[in-house]
Amino acid sequence: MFLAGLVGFAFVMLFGGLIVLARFAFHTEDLFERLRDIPLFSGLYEGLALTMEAGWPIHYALGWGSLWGEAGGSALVSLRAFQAIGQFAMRGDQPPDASSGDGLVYMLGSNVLNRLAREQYTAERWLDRMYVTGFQPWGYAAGTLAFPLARDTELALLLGHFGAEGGWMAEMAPRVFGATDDLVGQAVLYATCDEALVGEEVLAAGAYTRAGPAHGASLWAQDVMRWLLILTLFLGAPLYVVLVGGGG
Amino acid sequence: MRRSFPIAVAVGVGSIVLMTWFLPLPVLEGLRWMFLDWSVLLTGVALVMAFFYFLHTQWRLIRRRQNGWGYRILVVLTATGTFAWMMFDPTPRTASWMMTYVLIPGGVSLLGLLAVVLTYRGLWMVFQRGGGWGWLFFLTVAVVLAVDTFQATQGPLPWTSVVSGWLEGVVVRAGVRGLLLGMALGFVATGLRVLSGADRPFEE
Repeated sequence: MFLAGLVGFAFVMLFGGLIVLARFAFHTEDLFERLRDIPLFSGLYEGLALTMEAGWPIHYALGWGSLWGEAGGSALVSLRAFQAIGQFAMRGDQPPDASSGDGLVYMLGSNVLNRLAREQYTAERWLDRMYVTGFQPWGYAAGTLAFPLARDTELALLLGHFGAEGGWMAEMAPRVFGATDDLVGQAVLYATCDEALVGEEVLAAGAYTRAGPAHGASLWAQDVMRWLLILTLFLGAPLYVVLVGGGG
Repeated sequence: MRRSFPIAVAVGVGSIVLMTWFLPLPVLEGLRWMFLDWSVLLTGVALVMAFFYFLHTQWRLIRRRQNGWGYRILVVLTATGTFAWMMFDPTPRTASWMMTYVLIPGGVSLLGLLAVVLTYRGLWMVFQRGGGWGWLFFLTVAVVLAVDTFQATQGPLPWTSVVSGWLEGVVVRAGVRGLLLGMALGFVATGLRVLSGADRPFEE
């Protein structure tokens, strides 16, 4: 038990060390240049630009995941990406709307959006555009779907924690991009959204929106750790069979 | 100092809790439970704060007569009414009534609608996005699984059970494990960013 804990601790320390190494060994731009193309992110900025140029509103849904639970990772990434995407969307004629199904994420998201509005000197028009639309998954979905009725949302980005109800939310705008950490949600969003992220891609949103150098560094470290894990699995499986014995 | 103090506190407390998770040393165990107890208390306070912040924001929008202000009055009245009701009758019976007669019926009706949306979008995906052999694979899997589900009540078609069992037991399980391993790495990276103070949702 203690040995397993020690191995786990060494794993996390190694991961952290690699992030620090990448942060100081590479230029931030180099880290971002290494990123492979993900259609959702290239399409997202193009879609945002076209929507803003046409003067249509945009909606950013942060999901209903709480910072305290399992969905905390996607909620944090969503908040971080929100800063970058919100800054971009603020240049348009129409203020972006944002929604969350969790009280704390709502407060933090409001802070992000209101700060951006003040920085752009548009506080009078664009303050308080963050809404909490429901606390249960389905309540949140139903509440968020009321937005297009009032504002003809043209583009929506679902980035955070969504389950099967994400499929319903994908109907909220003509163009919808979806990303969630929930496996059922990922399958549903893949079928229903114009572009969707699969697997851990949702947790890389910070790096792809260039939210900060640490995001690029941690993604590089994550790739190194992935290869280490693959190597361990490939070497560990035959070793386990030889040392412990295979079969049922 | 105003900014770095909360970051230092968050990083320090987070590091201790993480360390005790892996290395359950008796010296640190007491600290870990104390911090976790505090976090539960803070979660409760944060929820109450979020509720009042929500009411404050809605009231500001109503006063400005912004788009949808009538709807907002309804939201504020419902939220305040529910809050007051729960305060005066905080028994599980009240919460259970809300769940049984408001939230669950609403959720189930939306789930029914989702079946229609998914069927339509599944076909849309096959014809719009399914280049190459992808669409054929998708349709075959969908038909085999549908036949297998059907035969469970109508009669034996053994080969579909074998195929669907293999799909669920081997293909799906392997795919899910691969996805979960990747996501676990992503979660660790996110946690380390917060722990090192690089991600600061608490800063604003």
